[in-house]
Amino acid sequence: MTNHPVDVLIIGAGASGAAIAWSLLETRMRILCLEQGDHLQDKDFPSRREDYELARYGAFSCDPNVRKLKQDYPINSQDSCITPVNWNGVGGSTINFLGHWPRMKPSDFRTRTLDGVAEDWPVDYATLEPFYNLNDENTGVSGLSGNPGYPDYSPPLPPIPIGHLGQTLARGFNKLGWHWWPSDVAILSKDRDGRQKCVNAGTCDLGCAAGAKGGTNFTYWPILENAGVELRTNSRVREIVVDQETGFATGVLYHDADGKLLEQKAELVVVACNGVGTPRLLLNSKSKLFPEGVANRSGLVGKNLMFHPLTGVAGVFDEPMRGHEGPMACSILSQEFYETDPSRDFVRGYGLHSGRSTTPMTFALGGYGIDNPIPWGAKHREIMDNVYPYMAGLTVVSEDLPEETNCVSLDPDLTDSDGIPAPKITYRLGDNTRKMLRHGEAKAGELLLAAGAKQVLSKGDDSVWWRAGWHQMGTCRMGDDPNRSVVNAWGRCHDVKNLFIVDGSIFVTAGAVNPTSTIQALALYIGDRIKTNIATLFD
Amino acid sequence: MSTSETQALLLKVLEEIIPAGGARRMPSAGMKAVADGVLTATAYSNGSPGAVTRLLEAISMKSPDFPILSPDARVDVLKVIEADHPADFTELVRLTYTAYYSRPEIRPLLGVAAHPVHPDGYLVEPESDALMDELTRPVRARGTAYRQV
Ligand SMILES: Cc1cc2nc3c(=O)[nH]c(=O)nc-3n(C[C@H](O)[C@H](O)[C@H](O)COP(=O)(O)OP(=O)(O)OC[C@H]3O[C@@H](n4cnc5c(N)ncnc54)[C@H](O)[C@@H]3O)c2cc1C
Ligand code: SF4
Repeated sequence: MTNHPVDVLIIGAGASGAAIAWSLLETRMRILCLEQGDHLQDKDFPSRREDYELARYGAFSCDPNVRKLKQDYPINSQDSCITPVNWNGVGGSTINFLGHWPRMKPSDFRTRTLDGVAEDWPVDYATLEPFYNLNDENTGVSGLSGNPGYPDYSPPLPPIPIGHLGQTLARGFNKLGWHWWPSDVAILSKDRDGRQKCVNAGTCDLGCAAGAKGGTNFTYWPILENAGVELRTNSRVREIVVDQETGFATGVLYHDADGKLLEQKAELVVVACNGVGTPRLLLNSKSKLFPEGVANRSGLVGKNLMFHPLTGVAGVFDEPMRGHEGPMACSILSQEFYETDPSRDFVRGYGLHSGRSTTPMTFALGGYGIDNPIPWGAKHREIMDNVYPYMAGLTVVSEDLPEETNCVSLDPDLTDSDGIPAPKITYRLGDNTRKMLRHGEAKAGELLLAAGAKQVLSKGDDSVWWRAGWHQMGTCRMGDDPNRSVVNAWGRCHDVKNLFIVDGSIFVTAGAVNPTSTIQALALYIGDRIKTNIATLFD
Repeated sequence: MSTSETQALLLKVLEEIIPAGGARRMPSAGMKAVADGVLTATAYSNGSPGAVTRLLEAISMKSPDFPILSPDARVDVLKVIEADHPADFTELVRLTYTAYYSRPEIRPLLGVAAHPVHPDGYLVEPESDALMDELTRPVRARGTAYRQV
């Protein structure tokens, strides 16, 4: 069965799919978004339920291999030390993301020129800056202006409280003379546009029932659906179809909720399935013209997968830190060790993020994203009584350099419920990252002691958090050279001129910050380029 | 083992997994509601289905008088069982923590709200402008902190 053709077909209703749809709204083109998941209904937010924490280990786990919901696809991560996590549904992974909203820095776009590693981006910070600002307005970002860590900009809303925990750590940073700043967050510090301000419930990973968190289910999608963008849910795209004569994409084949295979034709196809879902879809779209997957003449689709490997260090203080009060991830952020310093044994750098703590259950089970319960018996009593309430932690979030061997490929056996081959992750930590994490662990310990911790708890080994595959980047990277990149400087596939990619897979490098503000700024930028170049779009 | 024997043995095991006491006068996990939670969850456990039943059988084989042993002796038995059945034991620990810390009477003892956190949440006062100014002054005073390109 064939549906009516549309002008623009967007695949994926997450962070980037929503942003580009918003950008293209003013063109009055007919826009359709196909999303494999559904809307999350108000009654389904776990934080309204008595057993809200249990949801974190079942149907609301961030790990699709644990959740196993109908809309999820399995991911084989056996050859990786980090497993990708996500949400599949309207809002994409912004449903369970934590709303931490730092921008990339100017140097992140120039790592080849400055440090001789990876590649330079074909865009720079200055080009993206207006789109960062626009997206911050649309999302409702809270933060404090005047951060000396960035070219000047002002978040639209005042910062959320950094709390006792943030203040304690801030004083430690000041003692050492290190940079820190209240985190920018995609979380409302004031009521705005019918959304409630943050109530500090600390359950951001369980969706934000208050609507304070800037998931696109609360920000862009209500506007888009009101404006007539069609959002067709429970629609899983199987394959991008390419005319074998012209080399243009003609649309897609997708499965509806009953598994029926349908065709959707479109003039322009935009892929927004994230750093794992996008290469998976492209690799699954094989034809005579593209035997290795659509738009993959460079052979780079799926290659150069980057995460932000992390490790955590905790300090135990004399007074309760009340870390469960407030958004999970965001209090303050130090970028003292962000930029390359030739005196260190690694290039590039990392951020020290002050997470807040979690609820007792999650702490006892090893912490968020970790499956390693704390000891039982007398030791358990000791930890829960004398450590948990007094704890403040720092997360070392490191830049990951691209390596072709770190990749997303297709698993030969594993499939989703529609029989579509599932992705397989092959990933190992680079030496540079390892050194960075070790350095970060030591510096985090130094800081916690300076802030007054009486004890520092760190693992002191090379293991990273297993479920830290929150940020998935690099698997269809941008570039000017079609042999060294998959898309051009404005997201258009080198090999298929009416096929665009707008999600984190087009990142050239990863920076050492959470990626979503950059993902959306890029999507808005690409939308802007499409509008500007509309007359010659497919030349 | 009969259902009531299973329940009784499980309660004693749970008492040692999370013992009572401490400055906060925490109860042990050896309560019926936690045992029920563990048994219900084990049926659909992601980790190792049937782990709890297998462990309870192993404990009653190894130490038929486990329920009447002293707490120290019970811990010794559990350590042996843990060494012999590490995966099942970790699963029991996971299920115990899950069932215990999701109890509405337990959470507040650790300062966390008893009931669902939305819509009320917690009151956290925003820092005053003066405090924020004081805290950030040293950072601002050091000037630009990013690499100019
Ligand atoms: C637990 C967690 C915490 C996080 N915290 C932060 C944070 O604090 N700050 C930050 O910046 N980032 C954070 N992230 C990452 C952030 O959520 C992602 O960077 C962002 O959502 C990626 O946007 P995207 O558009 O690339 O993909 P997504 O938002 O993941 O959207 C992709 C969408 O495509 C759909 N899709 C995929 N394949 C198909 C198909 N074949 N057919 C139809 N639909 C398909 C999916 O269902 C999904 O809805 C976090 C993520 C998680 C999971
Ligand atoms: S802490 Fe704030 S942002 Fe997080 S879930 Fe609660 S209300 Fe939403």
